[in-house]
Amino acid sequence: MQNLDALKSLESTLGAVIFLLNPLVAAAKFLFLTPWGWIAIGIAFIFVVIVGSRGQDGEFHLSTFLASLARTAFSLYANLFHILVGVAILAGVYVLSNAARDAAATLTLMRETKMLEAALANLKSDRKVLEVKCVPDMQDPGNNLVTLSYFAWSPGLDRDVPAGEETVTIAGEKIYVDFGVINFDYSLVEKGERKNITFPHTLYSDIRAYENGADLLHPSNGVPASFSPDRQTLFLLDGSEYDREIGIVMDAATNRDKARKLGIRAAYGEAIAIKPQQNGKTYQFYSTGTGGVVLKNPD
Amino acid sequence: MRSRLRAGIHPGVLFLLFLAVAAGIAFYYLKIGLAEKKVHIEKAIAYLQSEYPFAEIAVKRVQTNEMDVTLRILDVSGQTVGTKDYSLRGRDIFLENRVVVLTAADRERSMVFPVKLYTESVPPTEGDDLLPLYSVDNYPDNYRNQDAELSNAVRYVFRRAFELSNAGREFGETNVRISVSMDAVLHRGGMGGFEAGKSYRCVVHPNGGLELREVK
Repeated sequence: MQNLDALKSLESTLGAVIFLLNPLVAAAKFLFLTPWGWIAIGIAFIFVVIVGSRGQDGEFHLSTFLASLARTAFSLYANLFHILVGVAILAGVYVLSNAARDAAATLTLMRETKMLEAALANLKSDRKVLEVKCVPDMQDPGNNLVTLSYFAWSPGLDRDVPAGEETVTIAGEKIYVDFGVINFDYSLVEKGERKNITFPHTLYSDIRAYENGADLLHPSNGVPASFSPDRQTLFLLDGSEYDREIGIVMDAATNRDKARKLGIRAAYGEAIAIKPQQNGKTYQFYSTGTGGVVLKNPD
Repeated sequence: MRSRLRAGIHPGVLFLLFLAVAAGIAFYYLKIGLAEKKVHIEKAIAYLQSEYPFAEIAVKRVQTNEMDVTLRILDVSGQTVGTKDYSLRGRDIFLENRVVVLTAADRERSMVFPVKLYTESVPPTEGDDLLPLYSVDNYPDNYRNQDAELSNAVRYVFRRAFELSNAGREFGETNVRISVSMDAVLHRGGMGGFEAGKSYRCVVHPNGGLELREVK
């Protein structure tokens, strides 16, 4: 972000230089690069010749005109070096102005590319929200021991930090880990203003309906447990302020008007099925920048 | 005149001229490089946002614990390839899908095969089987196309998608591999519930992430 600010300030400096050079360049371009400019120079030359053509009596004579013409032409010749230097300086200003314009365009492109890079990184960023181990319960055949390790994003550390662990017993051959998902508009995610939210919600199975599933939400003051990282990782953020922000988003997920104001694109539930594994395989669930939950190491 | 001209070309001026030319060339190549990079990133962003719908649920009636809905299975262009009306016990519809993510180099493409429909009151094993809605002769109509080679590939993925432990295997002779094969379920959950008279569209992202959206 600091780089973007520096680029922006460089761009405005170059803009000011271009603004100052513009009138000079426009005048030079008119005088030397257009027929009207050359006509104007010609008229000025003739004007100087005519002004010098009046005799001592104030009258116009052919002899004084010719003398003035010769004098002016010689004066032009004598000052040719200065004229060439002047034209060269104007040409230099013209080149400098174009270079400044090019540099400004390049800086703009650089800034846009940096912003797009950041947008791409934000869309590609996956956040780990849960790790699950599901093993058959040897003491109680038919049941499974599901160990859930929660992760929460820490705004202070800008990474996912462990946020608690629990073990749930559930029967079935296929276990569904259900999440609440809140996806924000692509433009907000791209700018890094919002991160899509995913939180574990319910655990059910192929033989146990969702309504009879195990609750993984454990809401406290409307804030899911998986949004409660170690308070120390919030650093300068006030804990209650953090909870309030999460509460606002959770509230908006079920209110269309509030959702629109917050830029919520979709809010829904998504469950991913896993199978109990004797070897205690760990499944990792990630919230994605584009939306939805993905399983990083499925069967 | 010649001596004045000779005196006018100062080494400092020449150095400045050299600097200006060098900077111009550097800016030119920098601009070309940046323009190419920008196009590349824009394409990558467009790819990440390249979602497509695979099913739509139209809710006709919602009562205390009953609902009438129409499920439409869509192909990648959004055309209906299979449809069925359901009267369900419950208030939340669960659409279970087999999601297959194909990976080639650094790119992913996802295919979705809806497999089951149930509600919060019904365990998945008792859900309605959806494959007969759109699969004919073991071929999924939602990915039907004219290209014979592509059709064979779709048939292959469809078959492999329902085999156990199929992720991470090479896809035929090509460098395409099935990186993920998982069952993912979409429903409303605690996010407002289904409303009568509204339609909800299911979309898939290239990485296999699913999304359920209210159709506006």
